Amino acid sequence: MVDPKFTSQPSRVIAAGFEIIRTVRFRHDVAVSLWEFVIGFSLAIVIGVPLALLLGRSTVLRYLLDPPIMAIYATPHLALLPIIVVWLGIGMQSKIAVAFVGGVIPIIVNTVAGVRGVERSWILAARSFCAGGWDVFLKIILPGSLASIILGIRLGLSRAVLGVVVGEMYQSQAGLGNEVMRYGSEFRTDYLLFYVLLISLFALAATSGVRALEEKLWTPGK
Amino acid sequence: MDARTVVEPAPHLRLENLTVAYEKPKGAGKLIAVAEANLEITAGTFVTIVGPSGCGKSSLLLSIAGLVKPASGVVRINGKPVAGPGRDRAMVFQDFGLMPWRTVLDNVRFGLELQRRPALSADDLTARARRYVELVGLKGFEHYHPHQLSGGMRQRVGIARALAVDPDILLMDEPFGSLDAQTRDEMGSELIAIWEQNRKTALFVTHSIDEAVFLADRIVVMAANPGRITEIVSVDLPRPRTVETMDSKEFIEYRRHIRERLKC
Repeated sequence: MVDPKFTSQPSRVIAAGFEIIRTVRFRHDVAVSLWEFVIGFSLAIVIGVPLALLLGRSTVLRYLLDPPIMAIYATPHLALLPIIVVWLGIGMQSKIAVAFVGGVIPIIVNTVAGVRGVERSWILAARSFCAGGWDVFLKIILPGSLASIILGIRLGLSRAVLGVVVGEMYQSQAGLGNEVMRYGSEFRTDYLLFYVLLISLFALAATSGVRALEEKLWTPGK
Repeated sequence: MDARTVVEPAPHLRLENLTVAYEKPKGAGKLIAVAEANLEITAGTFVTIVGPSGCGKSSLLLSIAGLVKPASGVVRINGKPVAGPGRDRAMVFQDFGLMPWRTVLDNVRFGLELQRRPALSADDLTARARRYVELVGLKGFEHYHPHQLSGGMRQRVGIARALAVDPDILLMDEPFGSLDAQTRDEMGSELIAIWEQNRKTALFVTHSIDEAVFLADRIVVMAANPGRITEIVSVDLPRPRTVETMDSKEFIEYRRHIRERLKC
């Protein structure tokens, strides 16, 4: 038999899970992680999408902001963790920031690509029917790039989850990543794996949710 | 005054010394697409514009649509200079310009939505769009998306979208240019049948001499470098025109004449 320090059995993991979910601490951890994710990722969407829509339409803005965005895109965002912790401390703010940075970049990059993919002929057709700037935005740019926006959200989502978990593993007082780190150092593999499983399931469910939305809004033939 | 003198209707559309120019890349000066074009079109005329590539046919049409600002000269509709797109005009594009995320019905409804008619409710717009979908023979395809249609069917959507806003002037920029020869002929016959129902002013840009003669009351012949109007030919073929029209001696004579004109 393999030493349960190195791996575990599904039965043990499930047993550990039943034990864990009854505790107050568990509810607190879930609440903390979920909150960090929801706030960080919502900010990424709320700031990233409008910014990218602007970037996609303005050559000047794109020239200005493309280099820094590409630099951040190429940087593993987790490498920024230490400095974010220095700035924001080990509380929830630093995790929110890492989730935001992780999530916002794929959203921006994909949304810009979507806006740039809007065909001139659609805009010309709209203008020929007296569309103003706002009409063009609402009836052409937005629906024309919607698929790319959702794709960016789906790709950003997993990076935001990663940001929260690794951020908690690095320096934190609570959260699922914090528990993974703690049980890892105590060699409680069954407990550790339960948390990992929980995180995977969450990421899977959220990604599937966005994918379902993507398919619902999918533009045929584009 | 002579008692038989008939009062001519005022010219409906008029180009006065229209010049269209585009900025060349890297400040290499200006490209003259249309030079000093003059043209008068009476209401209810079907005008085709024919000429080689780069003779400014499309630029001419776009400036009438108000989508391109002339470098000099003016386009007048009923005496008023054109300053931009307007409800009195609707355009059909060579590449269709349909929104892939909209169904056939919603694409036809598109122009009506944009032109904001307070008198019409959302249901009225849909009902009207549906009528035009039927007019162009797409009944049953209302809920299809453009990618599910053939090229000919897509352009029917484009034509229905333009007709649905009930324009005074219908502008068509090589609408059948990306269709195969057979579909092209069919579409031409159907277009002229629809047009004969209400005889709106129509401007139709084309590469095809056959198409130009078959559809037109008047043919505007253009030449390139710089783009200019070289001749205006009146076509006196009887209407309604059918496939047989194309076999008539007169049709062949017009065709020969236009081909000669395009050579030089």
